[in-house]
Amino acid sequence: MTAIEPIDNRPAVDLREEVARATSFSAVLTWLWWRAAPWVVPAVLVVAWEALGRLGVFAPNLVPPPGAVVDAVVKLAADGELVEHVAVTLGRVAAGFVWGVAAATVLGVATGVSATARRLLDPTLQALKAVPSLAWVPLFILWFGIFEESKITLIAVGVFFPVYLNLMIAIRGADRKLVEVARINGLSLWATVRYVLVPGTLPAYVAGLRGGLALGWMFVVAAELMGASEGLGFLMIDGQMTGRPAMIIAALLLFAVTGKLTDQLLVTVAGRFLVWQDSLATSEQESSHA
Amino acid sequence: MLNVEAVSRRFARDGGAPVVALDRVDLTLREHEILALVGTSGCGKSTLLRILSGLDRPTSGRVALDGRVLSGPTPEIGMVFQEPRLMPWLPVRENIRLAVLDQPRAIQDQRITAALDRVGLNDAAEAWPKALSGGMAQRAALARALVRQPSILLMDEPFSALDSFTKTALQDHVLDLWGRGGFTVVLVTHDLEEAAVLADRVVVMRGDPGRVHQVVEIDDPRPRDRTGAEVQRIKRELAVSLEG
Ligand SMILES: Nc1ncnc2c1ncn2[C@@H]1O[C@H](COP(=O)(O)OP(=O)(O)OP(=O)(O)O)[C@@H](O)[C@H]1O
Ligand SMILES: [Mg+2]
Repeated sequence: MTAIEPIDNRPAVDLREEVARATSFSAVLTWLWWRAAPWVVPAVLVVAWEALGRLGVFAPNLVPPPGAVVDAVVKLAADGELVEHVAVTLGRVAAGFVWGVAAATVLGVATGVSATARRLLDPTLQALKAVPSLAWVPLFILWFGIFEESKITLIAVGVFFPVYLNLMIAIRGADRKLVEVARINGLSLWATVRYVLVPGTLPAYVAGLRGGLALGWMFVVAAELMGASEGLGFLMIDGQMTGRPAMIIAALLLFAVTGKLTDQLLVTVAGRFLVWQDSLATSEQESSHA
Repeated sequence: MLNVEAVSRRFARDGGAPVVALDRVDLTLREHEILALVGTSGCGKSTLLRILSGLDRPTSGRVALDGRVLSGPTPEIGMVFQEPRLMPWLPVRENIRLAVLDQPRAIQDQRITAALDRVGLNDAAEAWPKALSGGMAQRAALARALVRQPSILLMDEPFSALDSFTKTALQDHVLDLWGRGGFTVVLVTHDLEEAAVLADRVVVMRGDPGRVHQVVEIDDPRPRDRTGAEVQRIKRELAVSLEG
């Protein structure tokens, strides 16, 4: 899955402003190239894929041409199945995410703030973390059955650890110097939490949320591959059973798109609270616009 | 006023005798003076200032403010640290508001505007701390300390991270604010010229254990000429006291 990247806080580029800046034709070309560059490799790959398919390099029953994948998506969409499967998978990720984040936040705050809680809980949690998460599957199925509960529990476990660790470490590392500013100004505990501790830990927390979400997507695939009657993972298994590779690839692309969109949503929402950050992204932006 | 009575502060050290950062220090602040605290690195200046601010407690002895023992930070005593220590997630105005959260909103706004005015930061009120120069950030920190209207302003090497031009400008600015403000300043510095130009009294400390070595009174009337003979003479006197 995706690695945790720094949050990109750049404001949307104003097209007219950018073009106005480009005073010469070559500058326009440079600008176009810069915008188009990320799409070059995918476009080449798709063209090569189609061309090789037509040349008969791939067995059509194993590697369908891009057109067939598009057809599969369109057909699913027309049946209304697309929305349903995506919605089911999204629902599972969302439920697992909420539970995982809730547990991680409570425990992360406790172990971050209190040395006693840390001594008491952290070693156990670290030990649990050492269990490869998919190894829980048989136990969860035994405990919670093969339906939603076991899937959501598995996803929640995946989401839990990055959020928990990031939060605990961020709270422990809270800037003592800023806490002193709060003390010298007579801030109440509540005001200190609100104006100093929460904003200070937010960047690390958001990084944890993104890492957790990425793992949530990874685990929903595992959960759905193990047995489901709906969802994108089910589509993949269904495609495999019925020999429809276009369906598998279509589901794969849908995973990529929905996963990326949820991450983008998280980044956009979090970005509103992190505009103050002196991150590389923002300073680059400022200097290039100077 | 503030009375320091036989204040000692020891820090435990892993495997060994404790560090005696302060050893029975006595000191009485006067109304509306500028007191400079100089001494070699590690002689206990910051420790003393932190105890005066209420952020730290003496191991023995006591600090009394108008006869009452100081048990923690109080609005009457403000502090400017070596670094501006602004919350990066709050614009300048909101950073200053933190110091007056206990006031009604209307009074907060009024006082913040006045404080920004005094340090000449009106135009930067809505700026993020990351957008400020070092000098501006330290002005914001000064505004945050002044907005609480303290009767004593503690400053721990507040200009040491600034270039010499900004430093001189800010020193003059503080002197001006002090002249109009009626508060007392305790200034920790390792810059003897800064002490000679600004202070009414200079407390020379020596470390290990941290003690007051000498108190130098400066009668030179203000404004003082930085390059003048009297400032140079005091600088030399302080240098001798530090090393001798
Ligand atoms: N929190 C602490 N824990 C342990 N030792 C400390 C602590 N704070 C200060 N000390 C020790 O106390 C002594 C005095 O330190 P202090 O910071 O007051 O010196 P200073 O005069 O401000 O030095 P500088 O000019 O370098 O800022 C030093 O030996 C220092 O190591
Ligand atoms: Mg110091």
